[in-house]
Amino acid sequence: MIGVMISKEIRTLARNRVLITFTLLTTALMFVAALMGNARVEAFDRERVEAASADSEVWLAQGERNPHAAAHFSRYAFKPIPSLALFDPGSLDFAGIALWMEAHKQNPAVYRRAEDRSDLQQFADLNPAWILQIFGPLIIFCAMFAVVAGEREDGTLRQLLSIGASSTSIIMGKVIAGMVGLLLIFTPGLLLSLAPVSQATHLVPIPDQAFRVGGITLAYLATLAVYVLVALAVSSLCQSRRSAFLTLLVIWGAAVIAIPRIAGDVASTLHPQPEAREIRRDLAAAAGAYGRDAALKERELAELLSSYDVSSQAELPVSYTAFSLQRSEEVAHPFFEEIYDGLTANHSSQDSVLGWFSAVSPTMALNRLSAGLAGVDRYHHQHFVWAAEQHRRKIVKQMNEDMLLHAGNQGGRYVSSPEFWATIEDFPYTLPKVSEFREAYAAPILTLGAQLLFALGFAAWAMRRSQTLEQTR
Amino acid sequence: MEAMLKASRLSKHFGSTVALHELDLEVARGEVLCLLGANGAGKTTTINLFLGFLEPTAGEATVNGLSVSAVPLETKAHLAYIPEQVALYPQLSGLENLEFFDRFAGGKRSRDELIAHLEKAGLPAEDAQRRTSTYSKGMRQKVGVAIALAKNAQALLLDEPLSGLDPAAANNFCSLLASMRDEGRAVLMATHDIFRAKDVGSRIGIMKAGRLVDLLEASSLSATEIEQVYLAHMHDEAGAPS
Repeated sequence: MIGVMISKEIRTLARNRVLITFTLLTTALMFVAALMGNARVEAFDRERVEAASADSEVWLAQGERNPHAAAHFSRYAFKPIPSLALFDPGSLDFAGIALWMEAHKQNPAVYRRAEDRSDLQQFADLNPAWILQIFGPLIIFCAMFAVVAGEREDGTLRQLLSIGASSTSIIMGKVIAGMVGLLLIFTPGLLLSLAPVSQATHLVPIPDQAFRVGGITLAYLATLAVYVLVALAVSSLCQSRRSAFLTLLVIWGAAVIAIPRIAGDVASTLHPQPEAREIRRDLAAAAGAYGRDAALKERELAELLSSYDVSSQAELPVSYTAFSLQRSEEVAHPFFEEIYDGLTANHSSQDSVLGWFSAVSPTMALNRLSAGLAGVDRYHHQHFVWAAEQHRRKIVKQMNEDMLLHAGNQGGRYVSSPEFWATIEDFPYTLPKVSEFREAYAAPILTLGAQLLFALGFAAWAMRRSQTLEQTR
Repeated sequence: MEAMLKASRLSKHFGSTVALHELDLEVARGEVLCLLGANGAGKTTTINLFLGFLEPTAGEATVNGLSVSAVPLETKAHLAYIPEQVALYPQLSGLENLEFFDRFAGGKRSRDELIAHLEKAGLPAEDAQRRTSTYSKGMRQKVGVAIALAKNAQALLLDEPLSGLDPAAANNFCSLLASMRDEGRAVLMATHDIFRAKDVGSRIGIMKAGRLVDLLEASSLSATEIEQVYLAHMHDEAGAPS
């Protein structure tokens, strides 16, 4: 009986052109979004590659120079753009993709593409993930609002019940037909938008790309399945097509537009980010911590002199200037970590507020999972920032050591040979596996799972209730 | 022989409103019992109780000896229901609708068999291939009858099936009903049409305010006499006998 219901539902959807209309609409939207996203990410990546190449050329061509001056000049760490950013650019445009690995300072990432664009451009930035997250639920609601309400209005539900159809077969038939419809509508668009990912050889493949693609597919299908079940439930509880459609429209507006917006505002009100100038001030203070601690400097100089068994800086076989520059770096490290840990903790507090709101908005949980699986969320950015900081510490130390061992008493007058710059390694960065962040994604996965179970129960309850109401009306 | 449809002291109250009061009624195989009465007399409530759409407040409805309250799905296997407006899926043809309802009721009839049922119900095979969104009310009633035939239902519950049909369509429908009666099916029909009731019915029950106030043998009275009895009961209801 369930199969009979599924077949009837699909045939009805096909005959009234709902299925073909929405499949074509979704596929076309996602195709356009994939093209636009592809062009945008490619342009962004091209600029990134050109900037990285220029940075490398300028670095290698700087000639004879004092290594500490070079450390101030330093290099940029460029964040590789994962190929899945073609599907979901996540925070790519906002988080910054270049990080200046300057001596004494752990700088935040810069070159945020969003800063260079007008509001209109930002609005027009279509990408497949955005289409699915925003329009996916709307398309489902438009396709399914009448699935039970229409049968009630037309009297066919009563007719069905009169022939002895069991509630279970009607419910299961409608649920499975809804899922089949979901697959038929969204699979072509999903495949079309994920296909360029494997072809994007110029972008950086993530080590566990296949796993991530599978995860993205599952996350989207699970979220859209929640909306299918909600549509079924609402359609079951409403007396007419019109009221079902209006109710679903309100739910869409709330779950997809209003709640994520409100959640963001609440999160930033409860846990405001410190202003940029405050962060800059704290970073500057951290950088000068060693210089301000005269007692520590004096004690360490005494220890250094003692270790070389000499009585003055002039007698030291190493450069005291380089020694104190390196110590200045090392003393600042914990302060930098404290500042960035504070920012991370604040982000985590905001995330936790968003997590609570996502309980009533599957789109929010999906948004987090999608960007995470695409490798373009906060956790991946922080991974890059920390790797860049490790590299900054390494290369600054390398330059300080060159000065320490070779500058003698020349101090700032010492210059390294042009060959030395080639020994400074480019920033080697490998995108992390998603399993490194499994704890961060547990909450949205559990939220989505709970929403799926709740929606299934809600749909079953609503359909049973509607049949009881139908029988007693 | 046990009645196909039987109501024993069957009552239904909606709060303080008595929709049906201690109805005792039997419809045997090969019999058509027509229920006449004003709106709200309890005709549709009676049908809904036999369909299991309503839980009785007291008493029992049975179909082929099975209690509707105890085994609603089993009793529905013996029943076919034809309402005033037969509800069909407009995107499907008459044949596809019949096929769907047949399959959903557990039937496995071939398309040829289903077409034969539609033709027997008076719907030509070429019309059966058209979407039901183009059907007239009479054509929809024919599909409803075909659903009952395909299901081989032994009892038919008809809720004002003649309402809104043109005279020719109503005549055709009554002929169909008579043939189903002659095949041994039990029919309980709620109607306002006294003349059709006399024409097709074996017995005629008159309902008023949830009670069966009279039960007449259709063959023993003329349509005019039935009308007079009916109107007399209605005048009683209005409290204005002269």
